[in-house]
Amino acid sequence: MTIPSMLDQFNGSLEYIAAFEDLVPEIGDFASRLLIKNYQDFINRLYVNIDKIISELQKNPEILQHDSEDRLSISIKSSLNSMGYKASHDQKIGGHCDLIVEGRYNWIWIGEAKIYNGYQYLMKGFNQLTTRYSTGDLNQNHGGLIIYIKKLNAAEIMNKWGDTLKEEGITNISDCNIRPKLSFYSQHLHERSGLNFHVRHMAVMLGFEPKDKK
Amino acid sequence: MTTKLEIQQLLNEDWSTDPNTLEVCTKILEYLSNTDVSQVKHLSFVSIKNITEEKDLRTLIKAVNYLTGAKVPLLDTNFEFIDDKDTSYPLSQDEYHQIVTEHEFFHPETGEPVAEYKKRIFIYFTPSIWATTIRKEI
Repeated sequence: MTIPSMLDQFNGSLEYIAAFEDLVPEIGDFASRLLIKNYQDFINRLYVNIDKIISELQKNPEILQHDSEDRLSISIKSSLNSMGYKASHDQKIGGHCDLIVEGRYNWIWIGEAKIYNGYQYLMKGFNQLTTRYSTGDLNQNHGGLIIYIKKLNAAEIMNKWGDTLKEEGITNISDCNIRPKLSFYSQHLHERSGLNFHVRHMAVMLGFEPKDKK
Repeated sequence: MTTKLEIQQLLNEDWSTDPNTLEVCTKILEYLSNTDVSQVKHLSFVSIKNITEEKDLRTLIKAVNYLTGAKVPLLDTNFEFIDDKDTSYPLSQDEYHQIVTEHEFFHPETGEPVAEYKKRIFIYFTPSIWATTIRKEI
């Protein structure tokens, strides 16, 4: 089924909607959205959509080389809003969060974004996310560390970042099956709530060093 | 409380780089503002296409997706099954969830499995409660 044929035939049936979700990633998943019944479903769909946005960003690393953390995060925020999320940037929650995504029933996901500039800088972002911005409350106990990597070999950087976390006592780390080596999960006790807090660490590959350059 | 003007400002902000989708969203906002939404029980894709006069389906879907989302929820999403006698059976969210996860659907009256049910289950929209409130605020 191709988009041109669907333009004439589209009738709003499940058959066409499902095909359209795959073919037009910027629409997100408005039919699938109805399948969301709880916070975990919300988080799962959010990560599917964030991965789509990351994939789009990674297509043009050459034009994003000089973009700041804020500029890149605003781009993600705008894409999430276009997909139907309620996303904001720089909202004040214990400080100025890079990304907040709100859903029904006080569901909240918080994202902190850093351009990779050494592991200490990433640890600063992780601590901001987990000890400053997030409450760790139920239905608010997932967050994300978005790592813009403007260097080559993002997988190695992510691997070493995982090792750094372990050295800092964050030992409960698991692979991401959807983006192996480029995303992973960590889990630890949130200091304020005393409940488990889940972080997805996500690389955004923006390295660009073509060998044909003179 | 949110006014029509405030909603328009949100639309302008979120679609500043996509004037086509902005125009479609604005036309839907206008329609909901100028209509007694309590009487609007069913908006299909075709009726939204007619209201907005938008010919590009990709743009239409982007606008509807946005307006059924969390930020500017003017429309609620619903599903219905229409059988071969053109009888409509509204489906609840739980029923929809079950269909999608179990990959099968049984006719609500006969109990018979429906072959190619994906061709007979349709999405439609209704004004949200929020949309009703906004109209009174204008």
